[in-house]
Amino acid sequence: MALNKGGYTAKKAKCCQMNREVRVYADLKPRYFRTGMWSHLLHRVSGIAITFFLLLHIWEVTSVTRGGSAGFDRTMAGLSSKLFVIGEWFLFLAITFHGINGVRLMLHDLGWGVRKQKALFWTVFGLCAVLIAAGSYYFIMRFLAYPWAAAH
Amino acid sequence: MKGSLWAWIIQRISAVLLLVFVGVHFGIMHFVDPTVEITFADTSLRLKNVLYAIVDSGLLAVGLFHGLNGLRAIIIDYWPRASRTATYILTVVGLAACGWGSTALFLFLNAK
Repeated sequence: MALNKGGYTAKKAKCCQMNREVRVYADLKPRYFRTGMWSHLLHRVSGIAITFFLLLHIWEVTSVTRGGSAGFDRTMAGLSSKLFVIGEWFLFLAITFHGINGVRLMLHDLGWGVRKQKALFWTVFGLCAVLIAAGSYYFIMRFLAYPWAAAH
Repeated sequence: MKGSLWAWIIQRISAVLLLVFVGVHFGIMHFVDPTVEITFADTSLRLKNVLYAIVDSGLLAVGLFHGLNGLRAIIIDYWPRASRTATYILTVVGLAACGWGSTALFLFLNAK
């Protein structure tokens, strides 16, 4: 296992017919982690989480909607509990980071700021912190307003 | 162009669209009058506004594509042999979820 300058291991690709050396960017050994690796990992984890939430959300809202308007209102009232506010807050963290970091990735794709990617990662981090702090106000308001278990 | 390059480009285009769609959808749901109760009548009324209908149906289609195409990219990174199978399965999942979700959108649009 050769160690190159970027800190990533190079492995033989078994999948390809060419059998050439490829850089493995998805190496999960924390000792090779730089900010870029953390951003890569966080982007993927938040992406997977949001995608599974989206599938659940589509399944849940559609099932409830198809059950009729009375059932819809009852279920939505039932979701007004502290537990769901906590869940929504984590969703808010995930989409905020994924969205802002995604802008950084697209700028890098266009060739902009590649040499400043470490500084830009911390800019993304700071922007997320500010947005999350501002948005959390509304979540705290709802958390305080709702009961732990809403009446169905 | 190869299919994989198209997948990459459309992933970027859908990302830009989603910044707008998710911003509007999440903003309205959580930051505009955050403690209001969500009801069928209000939701139906909101979705009859063309802009909201575009945002929510766009989220359904574009969001599913972006999310599942992202999952596909991750699967291919760690398990390149599963590329074709993953693409088939995720396409079926995406079309099914999109079809299922659009029935709810039509219910809201057809409600009196």
